[in-house]
Amino acid sequence: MSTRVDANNIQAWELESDLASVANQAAIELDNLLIGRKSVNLEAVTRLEALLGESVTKVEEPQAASSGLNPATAVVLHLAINDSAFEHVSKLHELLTRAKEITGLFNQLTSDPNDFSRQHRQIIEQMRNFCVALSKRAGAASHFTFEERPSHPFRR
Amino acid sequence: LSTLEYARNRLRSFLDEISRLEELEFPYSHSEEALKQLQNLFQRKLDRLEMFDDHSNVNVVKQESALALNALFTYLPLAGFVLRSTNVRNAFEVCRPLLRLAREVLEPDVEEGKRKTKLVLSSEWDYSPFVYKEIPDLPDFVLIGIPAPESANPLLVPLAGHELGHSLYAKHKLVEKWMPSVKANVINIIKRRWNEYKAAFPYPDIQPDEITTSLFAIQNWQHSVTWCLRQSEETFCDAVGMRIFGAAYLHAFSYLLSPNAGMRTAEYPSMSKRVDNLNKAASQFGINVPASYSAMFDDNPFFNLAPTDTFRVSLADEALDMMVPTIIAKTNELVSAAKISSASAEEIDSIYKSFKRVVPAQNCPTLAAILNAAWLAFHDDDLWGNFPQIAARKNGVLKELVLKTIEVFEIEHITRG
Repeated sequence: MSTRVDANNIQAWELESDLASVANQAAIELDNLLIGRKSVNLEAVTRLEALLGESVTKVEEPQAASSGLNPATAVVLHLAINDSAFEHVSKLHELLTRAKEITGLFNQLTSDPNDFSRQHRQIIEQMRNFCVALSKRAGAASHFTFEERPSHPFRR
Repeated sequence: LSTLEYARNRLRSFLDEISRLEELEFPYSHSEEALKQLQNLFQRKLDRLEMFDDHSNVNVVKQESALALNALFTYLPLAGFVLRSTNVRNAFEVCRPLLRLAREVLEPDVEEGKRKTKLVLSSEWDYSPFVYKEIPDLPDFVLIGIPAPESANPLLVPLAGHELGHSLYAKHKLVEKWMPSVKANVINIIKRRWNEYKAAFPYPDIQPDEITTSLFAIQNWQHSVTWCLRQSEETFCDAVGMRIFGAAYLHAFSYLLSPNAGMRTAEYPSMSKRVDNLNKAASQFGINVPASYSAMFDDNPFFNLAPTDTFRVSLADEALDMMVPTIIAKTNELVSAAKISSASAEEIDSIYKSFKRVVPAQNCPTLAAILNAAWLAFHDDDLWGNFPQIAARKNGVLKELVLKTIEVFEIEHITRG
């Protein structure tokens, strides 16, 4: 990997911090673990766990109308869970339960990656597939286009 | 055929292009720094793609390639924007005063020499000044673009206030702060208009108390929350522009956008609502709106929106109405915290008198005062009645006079130390 540092000494991890990027970087790390690469870094997995915690699992009273749970994030997570190998959900409380399970798995993995990957290879595959699905859904949500500016009349 | 190899090559080409742009002569270092950041960002993306091999999972590789391609869609126009910032068509005279203003607004608590905000002023080959919001991967950068035919027109500089608004909105995390209220407003409106909701979304068949618990129901109304938040941001940015530049913002806004700027989008309030909200903010800020101002605008309806989206947009619009007092109050709070005061009538008049004498004004207190005097002069049909040769070239001479005044303003600032 490049060790370049940008002009303002901004930490590299501060960039590309959107959900779509972080989720796929986590998928890359999980895939590297499955491939058996040496010295796998799980920084993005840790960041994704924190991101899901902040925006979903640690939100107070998520079912309240004025809670801090962003409905767009809930929808992205819902679709990603249904796209991946995890069991489908249709109610918010089910989503929150599933999200806590997933962040719990991330936490177990980052606490002891060697032991976890030896014992739970299939779960890591599931987690990787979930991360890819999450990245795709988050990327699509940020490019929802019916409200884009009208295109140029002569441009296609 | 290899998607991955194509993706790697696309990034290499982009990085080569950035290297070529770095050879240009930059009048201000911030454009160059923006290119450096873009270079580092894309090098990181390329490094990730270079790490993949035959053992890598194909879905992971494809998604990373897709993200890299999306980044090209996003950042290539930005590289062009930086390139155009070197063009002599830009009003470089306003760069430093605008940068100072941006730093005062965005970093009021930071000592003057330690402020980090960077500014890239450029021209757009797109007739809209409202192009770049706060860009997560270019932190601390404010990008201000004026349509190319107007890029040397200082009378449109107040529109930069709108762009500063986007940076202020991001800096204070207003989307996170306002989201709970917006969501609660949307839900309350749905409950009040339950029959309309059921007509728009017959499936799933739910009761009002399931509106926040059924994920399929949330999927139906979440767009309204997103759109209301984006409309709130645009409303906030308009209010920031007006709070900083006063009536000059109103004039610049109408110059560029009246009677309307084409078809409406859900991310912006309708033109009539936007003007209505500008009027409300002006009244709170003590700014006089010209009597015929609202009449200059026509509404800009959607074209053939589906019934479900018509309903969703109506929810966003109604929820925005409930947010407007909060938005105006927050604007005043944040701009006041930056110690930005409105230009007084006396200050404006003093500068305007210099313009009448066709002389650059001296000792101007603020950029806003200069630009308000400029608009006063622009609207004075008899400004240079005694100088017919100059009056015949009024617009061109006025622009030069205003730019010279801004130059004097900057030199005075420098010499004052």
